[in-house]
Amino acid sequence: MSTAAAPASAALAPAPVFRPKRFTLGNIGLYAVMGIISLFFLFPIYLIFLIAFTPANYTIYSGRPPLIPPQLTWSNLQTGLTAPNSPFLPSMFLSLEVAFFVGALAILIGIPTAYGLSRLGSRLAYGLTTVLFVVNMLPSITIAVPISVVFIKIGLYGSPISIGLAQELLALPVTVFLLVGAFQGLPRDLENQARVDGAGRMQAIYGNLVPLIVPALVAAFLLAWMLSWDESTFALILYNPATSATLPVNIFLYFTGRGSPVVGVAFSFVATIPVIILTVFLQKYLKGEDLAAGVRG
Amino acid sequence: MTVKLRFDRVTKRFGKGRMIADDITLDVDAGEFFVILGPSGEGKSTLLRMVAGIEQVDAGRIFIDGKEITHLPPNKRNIAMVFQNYALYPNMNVYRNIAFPLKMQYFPHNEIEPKVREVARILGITEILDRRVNQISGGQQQRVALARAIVRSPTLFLLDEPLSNLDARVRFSARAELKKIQRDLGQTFLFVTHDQKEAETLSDRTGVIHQGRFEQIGPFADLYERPATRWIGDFVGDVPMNYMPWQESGAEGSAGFRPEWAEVSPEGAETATVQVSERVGDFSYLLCTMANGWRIYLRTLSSLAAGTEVRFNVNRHVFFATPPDGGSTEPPSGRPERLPPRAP
Repeated sequence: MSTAAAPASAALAPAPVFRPKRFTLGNIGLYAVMGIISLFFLFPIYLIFLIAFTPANYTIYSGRPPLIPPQLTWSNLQTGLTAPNSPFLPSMFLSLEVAFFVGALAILIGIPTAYGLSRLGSRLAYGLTTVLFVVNMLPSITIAVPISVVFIKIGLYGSPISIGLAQELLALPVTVFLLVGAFQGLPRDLENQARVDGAGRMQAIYGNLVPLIVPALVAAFLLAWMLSWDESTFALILYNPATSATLPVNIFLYFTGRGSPVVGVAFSFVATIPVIILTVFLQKYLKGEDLAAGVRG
Repeated sequence: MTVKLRFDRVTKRFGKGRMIADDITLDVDAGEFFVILGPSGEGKSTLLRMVAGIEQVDAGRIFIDGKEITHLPPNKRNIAMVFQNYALYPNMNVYRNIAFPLKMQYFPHNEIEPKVREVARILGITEILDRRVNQISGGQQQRVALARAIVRSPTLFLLDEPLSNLDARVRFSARAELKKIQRDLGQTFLFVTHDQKEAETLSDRTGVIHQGRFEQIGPFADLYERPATRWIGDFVGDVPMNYMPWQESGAEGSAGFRPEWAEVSPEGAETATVQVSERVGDFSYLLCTMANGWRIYLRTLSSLAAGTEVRFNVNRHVFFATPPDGGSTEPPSGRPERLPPRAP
């Protein structure tokens, strides 16, 4: 017995911690590649920043915009955001309204849908989830027009709800996909235990299972939120010119000649801020393990 | 004795073919500790889950206290269940886990706390009430699961291999404790296990399930001493039963005997050759071959070298009217193996 235990405990001895040496040639190469990739993705953000804070005559109205701002200014933002009749504030509010609507609805519908799918056989569940993605496979513009017709018929056209509902078509499949994985990662017996302990089905789902997939819910909500914040096709076709359009639509309109591109730039800059904040927040939850299960053990 | 739980011709199959319950009829008495014993993969847990309402029966009816519950949802059956992995709610601490069934029954708040503290005291987990369930040991988790089952004072407990996740030392004491709790509560326990030691130590009666039917039901000692079939003889016990060709009241058959029913002595009537011997506690099992090639296990106080000729007498036997084919060559699946399986 003891002879059998000895090699086992030796095998369990802590493995030596792997510490890469800091400045080997290979590592320098690795960091260089990572640096280049980061630059590649960060550069557009820098460009937005550059154009937003550099006088327009150096950038938009110049043939060869500089990469280093010769001069910094607030005036672009001021012009864009505080000019009389600037659509910025109503646009921002509309975008927020629609994005929160899309996020909340995605969770609201996503939970029961994903729960149901997670309790089907996995082959059937995958089939149905794929069907959900059909709308995402089509170009938005092809369904935006028929959707508009329906909204006009039922009198919703131009309302924030109509934009939100259309965007939900894109957001919901992603949400459901994510939440199905989260539900499937939960031990089935947790639900059974709750039922035996006296919980009704709804109580078992919302009281016992949903609290365990909060990270997945947060991730799903933020993905839906950002998808809506970003979405411009439905938002462009369904917006009501008499009131306001969402931020991406306004940015598009300002760049395509319905106003000063400087205002568009200001909008772009402001529109990225919530996304950056959310992405930083999201990172905490976007770990593989959380998406897979949301619970350990 | 009043009947607590009744299976009335219950049938259940998985998918197209696999029979889990084949026309099972069973009465479990009130206050009884009934163990369902069987090899892994025989659908023991499914039987339990059908009582709990987590699995549906295909045909037949289930009664608790004479009331049919076959199609009631789990939360309307007033039973407690301990799952194999304990299924503690990871988002709640120990206290809230135990209080959960009471909350689901809308107990007044001021009555919940004394009840939770009472069962915590009984199970000796008062100190860990504030802990998270992933911060406590396996033995403690098992107690919490038991406490959560007891707190609501149900009259029927379903336990699905609750000891199998414990390490050997803890399992030993947990077993004794479980028996004591059942006796103190005086309630009916339906307990599923593949470990015959648990059936032996815990049960008032044991039902051995095989291919969707109870092969034999009775006190564990009966299963060991008087197996109804050769399958039971092989499944129950440290080693499979031994067989010899035998005639009894004119019928051809085989005599089954346990190793300790045979006495090894120089004057023995039968002979066998030792193949392997293995020390177990304070005696040795000898795997031997008889002259006709049949393999048997004998028990002696000291090990004997391979190739030794032993003589023995069979003092007791059980007669099986099945044709004498040399007995099983493999122990039934799921049975713990002590010695190398007998070659065909």
